[in-house]
Amino acid sequence: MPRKANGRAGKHRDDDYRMPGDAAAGQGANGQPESGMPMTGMDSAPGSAGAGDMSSGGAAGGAGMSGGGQAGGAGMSGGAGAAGGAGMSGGGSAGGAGMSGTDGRIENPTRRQCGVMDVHRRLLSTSPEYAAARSAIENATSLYAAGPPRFTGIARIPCVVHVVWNTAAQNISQAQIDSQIDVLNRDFRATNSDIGIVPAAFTGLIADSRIEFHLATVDPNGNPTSGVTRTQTSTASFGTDDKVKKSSTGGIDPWATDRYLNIWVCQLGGGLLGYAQFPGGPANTDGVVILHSGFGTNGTAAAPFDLGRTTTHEVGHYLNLFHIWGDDGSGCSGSDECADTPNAAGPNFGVPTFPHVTCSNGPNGDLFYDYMDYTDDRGMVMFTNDQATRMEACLDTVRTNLPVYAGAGAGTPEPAGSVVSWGANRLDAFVLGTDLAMYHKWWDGASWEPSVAGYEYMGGVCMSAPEVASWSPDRLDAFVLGTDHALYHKWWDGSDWGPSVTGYEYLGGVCMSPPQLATWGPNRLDAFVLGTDRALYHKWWDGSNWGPSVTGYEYLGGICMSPPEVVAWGSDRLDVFVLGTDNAVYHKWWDGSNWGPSATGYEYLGGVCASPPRVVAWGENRLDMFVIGTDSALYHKWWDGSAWSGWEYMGGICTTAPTVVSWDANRLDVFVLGTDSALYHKWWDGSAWGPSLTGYEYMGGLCTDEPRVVSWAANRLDVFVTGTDKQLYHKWWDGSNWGPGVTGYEPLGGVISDFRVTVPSALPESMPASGTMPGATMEQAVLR
Amino acid sequence: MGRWTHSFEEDHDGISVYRRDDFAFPPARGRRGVEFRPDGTLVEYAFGRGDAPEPRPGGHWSDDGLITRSAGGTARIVAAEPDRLEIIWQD
Ligand SMILES: [Zn+2]
Repeated sequence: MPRKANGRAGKHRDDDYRMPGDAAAGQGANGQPESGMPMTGMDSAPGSAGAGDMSSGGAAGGAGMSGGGQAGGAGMSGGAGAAGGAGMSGGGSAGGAGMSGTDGRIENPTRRQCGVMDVHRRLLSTSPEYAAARSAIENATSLYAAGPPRFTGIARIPCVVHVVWNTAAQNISQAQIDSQIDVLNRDFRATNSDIGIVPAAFTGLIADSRIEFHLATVDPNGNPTSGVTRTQTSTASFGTDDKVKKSSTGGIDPWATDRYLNIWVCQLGGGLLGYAQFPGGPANTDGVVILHSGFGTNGTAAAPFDLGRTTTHEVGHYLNLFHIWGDDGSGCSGSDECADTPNAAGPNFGVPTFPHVTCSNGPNGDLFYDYMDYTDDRGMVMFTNDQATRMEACLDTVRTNLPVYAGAGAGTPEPAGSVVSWGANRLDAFVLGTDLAMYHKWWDGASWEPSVAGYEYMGGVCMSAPEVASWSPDRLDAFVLGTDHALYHKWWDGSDWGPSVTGYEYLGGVCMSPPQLATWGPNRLDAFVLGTDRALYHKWWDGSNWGPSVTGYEYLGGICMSPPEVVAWGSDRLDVFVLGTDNAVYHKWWDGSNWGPSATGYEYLGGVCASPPRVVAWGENRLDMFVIGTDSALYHKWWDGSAWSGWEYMGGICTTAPTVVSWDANRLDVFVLGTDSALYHKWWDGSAWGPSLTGYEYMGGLCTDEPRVVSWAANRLDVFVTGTDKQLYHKWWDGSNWGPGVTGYEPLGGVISDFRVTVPSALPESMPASGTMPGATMEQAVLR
Repeated sequence: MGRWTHSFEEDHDGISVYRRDDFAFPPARGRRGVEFRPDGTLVEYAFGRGDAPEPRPGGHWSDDGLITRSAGGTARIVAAEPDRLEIIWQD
């Protein structure tokens, strides 16, 4: 068994924070190898049945996990895709850009600049509130930019496109709208294919702003929506007087501007391509307005403004970016408040030739490749690092109500579980009653519904605890196994339960593990189960259909000794972890186009585990895995974006699998039960483990099942456990204190079954055909 | 009198050409403009921070076509038709 040095610091444990029984077991643990997880004989494996399985698994020879076979060749092959788009190709000579330096405009002479600041002050003074708001925003922005590194997650901004049309041609197609959203997502993630025109002198400035955009899926009333409104108007063309933003003046009112990016698309007069409102302005006119023929890349979009860059530019303003020339006409005194954009005189038009030197900014000159200059669409291809920081600051200090981090404080998708949160101060808890029906209760921000001790009856006879995912505010998808071990599904769409309050959608399969769900984006679900052959199977909802079919499953290989653990750290990204027959951890991943290391192969991650692996992502391309070793201690291993760590020893005598949650970048909270059935807690604050590397915070209780923990905001935790009276209990961290007390719990009623399905004890006779799941008799499942 | 927008595509020989707002301007990233007010004041429209043209005091104009700029310098209206205005901006 390959071993790597791990983070085990020493042989002395912190007696102050010892878990019960720690000292006694410590003797045995001291005998373990200095590094790595303890290797144990089969006789110390939990349960003799399990030990028998291990040997039979070995005897099966080739039946082991492919790619596994102990170390095998399964290195980090192909790893989890490196940074990708950002760096870029150097672009080489500017030449390719070609074309006229400027478009030969004769502009007003420059001397009037000295009046600019007077006028600026005068304009600001006409609206003291606006001036105060703008000043506060700039102060907050500079404080933010001077602070610690920004969050590593991706902000996803829900958009509504208001098409306001006078002629039929202006009623642009969905395809044209979709093309614009695609452009925004490429431009703000620096994945635009034309980024290569940037000369080497500037490539170091290119930034991935980590902001993405999607058409809203839920309207302000909580109903499903396409994220597009269409309004016929008698107004032949609109100006910059915001009439397009009001139903009473020929346009259409915005959707709640604090929660949606409103994009009006219409005919604009005066040759205007678009205009924007900066953060801090009036709420009822917040958003951007775009000329229909400067919107998207098809339909009415017309050259040279047919690459969608007008919207990229205006959304830059919406996120508090200024023009790179500093908005001082053509002088050199204005600033865009970004240090990495060279001081420039005035706007550049057309597609200039590199370099264009102004304001003593040679030899490289103006950064006219920037989206915040005035070039043609094909000339603007980048944001800079400082611009990205300003936009991030805008999201984190001004536009804070935009639900960009979907649910929890972390930028990664909301993890699925029996308790989920689809928004701030919202909790939905699902349990099985002793009648094996599903029950539901929820915290609406003010009270528990339907009552503190009450539950909503949701029918079913369930063989697994509910697994619930939320891909959007006010959206829930719950999955259970039925008595036939098939997968069943029900959903809350914001107003009703589908297919009915007590009904379920049949999704086929004969599953030998509880379903594990992940969602990496709006209207997307990925479900993983084990088949009777203990192989991993997968099905997915793509927004309109179940894949590979309603009742079909994708075969992903393996012989798994634990339910799959699934994490999505970003869009179109999945990481799945299982234990193999050697109780080591195996890993496979979906990178957006392929399964790694192969469709049925697994990456070997080592260890000898006494619990399923539990994994959380606190940011993009970051994974933290926790397992219990055969010494009942907690172990930790992490992926930092380029490599896996060794196993870090974290002490404790744990009687349940760890429960782990992250409410912010570089923040982890881990919960386990001790041998006294009490809850214990430890946390990573970004620099150290609290209360110590191997210590735990005692949180009281007599718990009968592993805790469920959810976070609906930064520095917020809600913990749910079941007590010996089969009641649900709740405690919470509000940022400064545990409620109702460090060791106290709020009773939430119910008579809860802890009935769960684990993997079967016997291997099937033959491997299944791909895409189908083998049948099995009930006896093959181990129920406990 | 009234507001005029720069039709820079028609500029020639050092002369800036302006058109009324109902002119079919091709889309452009930004267009400057001028407004001649009845009281003799001139308002200039600059590229706004958020791309909407932004008015600012420009100076004064007189019936003989002379523009006196508040920032210093002069300009002269060299042709005026109902739908077309030509100005030479002097430095
Ligand atoms: Zn602009």
